[in-house]
Amino acid sequence: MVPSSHRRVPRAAWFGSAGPDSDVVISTRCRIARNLENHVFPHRADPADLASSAMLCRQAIAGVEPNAVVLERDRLSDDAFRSLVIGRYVTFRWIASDQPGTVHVDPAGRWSVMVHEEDHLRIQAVAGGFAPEAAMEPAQRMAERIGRHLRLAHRPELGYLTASLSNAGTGLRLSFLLHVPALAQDKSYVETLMAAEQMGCSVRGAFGEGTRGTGAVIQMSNRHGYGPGARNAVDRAIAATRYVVEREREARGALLARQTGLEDLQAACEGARSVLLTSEPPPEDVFRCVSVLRLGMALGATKGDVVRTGEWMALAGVTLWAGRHGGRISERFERVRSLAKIRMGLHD
Amino acid sequence: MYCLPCLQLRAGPGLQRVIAFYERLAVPAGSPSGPRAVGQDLEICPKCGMTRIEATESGMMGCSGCYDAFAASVIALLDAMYRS
Repeated sequence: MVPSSHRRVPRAAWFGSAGPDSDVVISTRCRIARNLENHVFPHRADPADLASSAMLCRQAIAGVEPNAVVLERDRLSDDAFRSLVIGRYVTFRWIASDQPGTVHVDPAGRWSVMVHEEDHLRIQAVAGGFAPEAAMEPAQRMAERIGRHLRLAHRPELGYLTASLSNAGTGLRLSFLLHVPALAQDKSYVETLMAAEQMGCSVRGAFGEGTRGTGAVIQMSNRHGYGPGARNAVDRAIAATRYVVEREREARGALLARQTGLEDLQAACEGARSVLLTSEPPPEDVFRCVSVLRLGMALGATKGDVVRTGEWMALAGVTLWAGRHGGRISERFERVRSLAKIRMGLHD
Repeated sequence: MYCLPCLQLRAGPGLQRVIAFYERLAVPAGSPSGPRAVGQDLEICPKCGMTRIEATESGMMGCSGCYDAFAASVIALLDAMYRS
């Protein structure tokens, strides 16, 4: 059986999209969880249940989007596997599962549908920068169209039923990937994130740094999808994200206002280029170097387009995560050279 | 600080045992049965076999039938999450 090549994975639209506030916000993702009525959820299902639910989901998606690229989880080459993760078409949970599953990808790279992630269906769309509408509109439209072909698990008093109670209700999670290297070094960092959480937002490290987001990349999302507050939860997440974006900009301003702030950043960017182009750094250092370069590009301290660094951040972050995860996933990431792709971008 | 229902949803297996211990402590000595969910919840989902304790402690439901079988517990947990 020939594994699916990465050439079949469409290039993610958000890689080249200069969305609003892309100096700080790398991307915006909307994901919607749905399950089939009368089918056990994937984590409890036996092989017969899984085969049956997979077939129904696949037929429904194919009926709605016959041109979608369909990839099977157990037939992915290492590079296709990496391309799916970097493009945010699939989640870490989806790739870590050994159950039968598929992902259906928009040929234009705007959305994807995972079959058998935590739920039977995870429909998601990603847009570059701070773009809630651009992420929500395609995901919601897709969920609605797929829903017309399936009997979904839903109760009037609860909303959509999901494997995890924390997703029940709308099943919708809007999340923002933020690059906050200046704020992360500021003494107000923890206080700022706590304030964002008090505004009704969940904050965590994007690549497994823990619940408090100790790294330079954090993910912020709405906390609730259930009850009368669900409608406002998305608005609160948007407001909290705007708040953190402004704090990061203030911290960047303070950095540049230092006597040698710009020179220090320029020197760091030169050092980062040198490390990436002339050595074989471990994943932690690749991540640090790309982070500095992205900051330098955003502030005009070094040449380059900050939008392109979103893909590099994803490459570096996912490679870092895979190394920490260990096992088979780590091995698969070692076999593909993420650094080579970043180097090609630096030479352009 | 999380309330117990919220903590249950976020806790790993070790912490869940700790929470279960505190819940048991909260039941007066000599009480004929352990802590029960409010309402008329079943102890086991008839569709997938998941137990009410397993579902409420992990925050993971086995199927849509669990939402019906453990309806009172589910509503209590969701309300607690929403309030936090």
